[in-house]
Amino acid sequence: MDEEIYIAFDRYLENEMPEEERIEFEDRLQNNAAIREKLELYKEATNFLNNKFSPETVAFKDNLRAISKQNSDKKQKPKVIRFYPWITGIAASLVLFIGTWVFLQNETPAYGDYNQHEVAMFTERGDNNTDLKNAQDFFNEKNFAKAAESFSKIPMENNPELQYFYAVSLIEISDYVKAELLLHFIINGNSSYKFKAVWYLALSKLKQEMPNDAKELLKQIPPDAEDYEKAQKLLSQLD
Amino acid sequence: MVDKKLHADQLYIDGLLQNNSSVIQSIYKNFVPKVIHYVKNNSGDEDAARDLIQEVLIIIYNQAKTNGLQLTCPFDAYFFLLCKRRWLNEIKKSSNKQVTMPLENVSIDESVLETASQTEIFDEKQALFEEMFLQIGEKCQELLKLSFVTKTMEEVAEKLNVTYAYVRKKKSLCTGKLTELIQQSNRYKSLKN
Repeated sequence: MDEEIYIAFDRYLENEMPEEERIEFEDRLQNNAAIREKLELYKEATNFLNNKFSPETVAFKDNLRAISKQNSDKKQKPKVIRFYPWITGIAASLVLFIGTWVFLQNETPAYGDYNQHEVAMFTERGDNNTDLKNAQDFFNEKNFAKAAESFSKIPMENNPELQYFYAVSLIEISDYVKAELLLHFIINGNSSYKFKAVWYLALSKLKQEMPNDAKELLKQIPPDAEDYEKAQKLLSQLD
Repeated sequence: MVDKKLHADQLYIDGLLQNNSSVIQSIYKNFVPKVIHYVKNNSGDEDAARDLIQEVLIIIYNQAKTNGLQLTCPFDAYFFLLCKRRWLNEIKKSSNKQVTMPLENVSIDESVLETASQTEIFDEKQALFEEMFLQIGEKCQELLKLSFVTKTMEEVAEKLNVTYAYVRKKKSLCTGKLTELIQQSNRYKSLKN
């Protein structure tokens, strides 16, 4: 084994070669495919080791094992999946709430009172995109099943606007898991859709007849948010 | 590959990469039952299915973390295909007799096949790295493990009571040894082609 070459790889990758030596080394790489291939493999080996021993990977495996176990236990004892940490801790008040809620059921606001969605307008950005056009049109026609189908074909990473409209369509067709996942992504970001997403997350809970969860969410909408007044109105109806 | 459009389901890959429990939960809720059903219908039980699913999710995580993984197809189809093929391979390995592989559904989307194949190649490479890591000798294994779990090489040197220059050199030589073993293996040669 040519030890020198690996010591050179290490210094090169750690950026420890002086300018002149680095240029010379890069020249050598340029002209020697065998060394280039070795360097690539060396990098792959380093990545492999880095991932193998990384604490994040260990944590991921542990978490996965726990969720898998929890999931198989659930079959015997059904349990509601908790998505949001802030839901924890309100279980006690829920017991009290159910009594009042059953009593006041006739006055309970429904999702249908609040599902006036805004108009989707995104095609000017990509007029040739049929899926985008379909998603927009179906959404505005309130054909949410078709809208969701079109949205599912559109890449929307880092596009909170599309994620938002997709999530609204999913709430309409009661696909709450995916809808709430998308809203959660928006809430964790910093776009102008952040609190709009909180509002719809609350509506999703309302539609699933989880008023307490909805309330907790509504309280997080700040006064300068677009949906603040609607949120306050719904809160007072839920109280 | 780079220019192909990302699928909206990339959020599952990103979620796995971030170890986001709600994403993992939703994978278990939405996509896992189908795999369990498939395994049970093909001479397996639920425990075997759960082990298989964990293995596949770890492979996806590893690929996303080391190489980056860009999903251009629905997660559901991709995940199911990976699980299905892995399960068929396991059956084939455990029963010595030839198992007739059910014909692959011809309607499977090309981008699903391609993405799944890339993951399988990644996994084979990963398995090769694991196997060769076991052959570099205990001393090298220890040193490499220590180098990657410890924050700085200075700390590694301190722990082993040797000089910094020595551990740096050892680390690159041990990684080099791993590199050589992989390069010389026949499996690497066939993977390359």
